[in-house]
Amino acid sequence: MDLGQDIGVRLARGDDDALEECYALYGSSVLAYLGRLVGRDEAEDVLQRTFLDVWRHADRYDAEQSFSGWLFTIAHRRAVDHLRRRRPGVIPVEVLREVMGDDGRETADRFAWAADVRAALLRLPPEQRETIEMAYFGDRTQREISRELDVPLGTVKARMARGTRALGSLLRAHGASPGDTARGRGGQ
Amino acid sequence: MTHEQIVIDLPALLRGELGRARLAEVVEHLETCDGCRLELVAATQGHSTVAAAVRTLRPETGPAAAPRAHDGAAAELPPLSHHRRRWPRWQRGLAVAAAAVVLGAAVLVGVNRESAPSGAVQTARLSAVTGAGSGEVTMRSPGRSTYMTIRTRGLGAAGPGHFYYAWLLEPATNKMLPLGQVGADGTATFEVDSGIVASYHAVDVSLQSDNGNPGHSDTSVLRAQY
Repeated sequence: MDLGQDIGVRLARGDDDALEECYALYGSSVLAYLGRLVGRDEAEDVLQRTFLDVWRHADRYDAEQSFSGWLFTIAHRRAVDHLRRRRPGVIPVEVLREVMGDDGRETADRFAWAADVRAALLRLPPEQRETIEMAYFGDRTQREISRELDVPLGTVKARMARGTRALGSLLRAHGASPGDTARGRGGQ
Repeated sequence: MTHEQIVIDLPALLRGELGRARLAEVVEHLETCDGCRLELVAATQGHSTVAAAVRTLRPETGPAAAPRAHDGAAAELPPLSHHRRRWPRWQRGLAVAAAAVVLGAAVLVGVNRESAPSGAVQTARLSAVTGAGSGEVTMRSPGRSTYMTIRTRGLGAAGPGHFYYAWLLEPATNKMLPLGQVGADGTATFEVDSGIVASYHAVDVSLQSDNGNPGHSDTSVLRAQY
């Protein structure tokens, strides 16, 4: 079972709260992906359309497939729709490369995998999550984190060690691996 | 040096944060301790996974703008909007009633497939918005009414719980007026007040879910401008 599978199953049952949870866990990752394809200024609109489609077509989610893969397939399609509506000639070649063909699939899979990792991070105990986010996403050293949080360096080390270990276990327990997301690429 | 002291230094080892002396101690221990080497494998998996996710999710702003905020992973999310698939029963009733009033008062929908009256004829080509369908809209205006006949081709079956629906659309403002369901044979005819037709400039065909929501699904499959 992948990390988002329970959310996908609840969405398919029409559970309103599941959409909010899905948005909280995956929204920022989808927004980052769309920002890369359609630009930051327009990504929020496409994000809303993506989650509207997720809600509307939730009954098409196949619980045997990766939820993040399914989600990013929808995001990819909405981004393509959005780019098609633009005037011709304004889409940079590098964007086309990331949208179309093998490069496009690889990009979507990579973001789906990163989104699963991000979702797993959000399930860690808050102090472990905060430490890991400061270290990796905030690019801080353990000493800097210790000073900023005003906790002993040993505490920061312990939180990071437990957090990264727990993260690996969480992803393994849910069978999430980079290749798993590719299995989720199907219809909406 | 205890195993516990080694294990909590593994993230710092992987991130290159250990000083020279401490690095030498940790490496020396790992060379002789199977248990700590297994811990290193687990730590490496966690480290590598997060590092890859960071590299993917980090905005492409260039090395000079490396993020410092610890919440850099969580890009500012706008509030989630218009997501309720099933409207509360009372809202659904109001919306359906409002749609019925609009339809009844202004549009006078008539599924009249046999005898569209003669008069001035205008044809507009339906082009695919999503998918590969096509078709045309024929409008005859013998008097104050316009008879709009929609013929679609290649749309395919709407699928269980779905149907195709026709709308008048004003592209400049996205204002829409519901016409009615497109039949299973891909055609439909509607009698519409000519003044209403003149205030719109496109016909849109959408794929709708049978979920009680009377609004446009945002999934347009065909569109014709007139």
